[in-house]
Amino acid sequence: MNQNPFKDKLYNHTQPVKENVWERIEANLHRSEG
Amino acid sequence: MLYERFSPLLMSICRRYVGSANAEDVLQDSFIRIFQYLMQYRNEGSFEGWIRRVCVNTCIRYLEKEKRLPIEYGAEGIPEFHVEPSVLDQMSADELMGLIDKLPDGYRTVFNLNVIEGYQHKEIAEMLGIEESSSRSQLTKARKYIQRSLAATQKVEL
Repeated sequence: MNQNPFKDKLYNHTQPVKENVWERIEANLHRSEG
Repeated sequence: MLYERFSPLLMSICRRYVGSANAEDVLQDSFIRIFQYLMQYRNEGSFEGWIRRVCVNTCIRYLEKEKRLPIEYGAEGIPEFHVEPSVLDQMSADELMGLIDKLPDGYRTVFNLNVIEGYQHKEIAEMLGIEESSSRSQLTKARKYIQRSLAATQKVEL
């Protein structure tokens, strides 16, 4: 019997990410390098 | 690429901890930390486990910074409850995520750390700077809150 449905269904759950998030990360990394 | 491989997983983690409105911002901060501290990964344990920990810690730091982590004390006397696992088994991941979304920040953080990430109360207490007993009481309150939410949607009887 499944004893922890929250873990079973959500531990590896994924959600789509908007494309512009990577651009924001890249910009931040370049800023911190500079 | 590391981002493409892990961003959907970390996005889900961020949403679980900080809610959908702030998840993208915290995901961004998580990846910045991951790239900044990548050299500190020592091949001890799985790489995915390390990435998860960085992300969860970033979520906690965000909640603390936003003062969204008021940990309540003195929850003695709250009765334990029981929800038949079959009720939760029949719910989708999105429905379970919806239940977690409704939890107050403090309850949600402890619930996520213990029930989903699998941290022990001692570890949670250290991560959040609280007493172990507070972690236990937050979890009890979170479970009761979920039971009430289920009752409100008539999935269980109180």
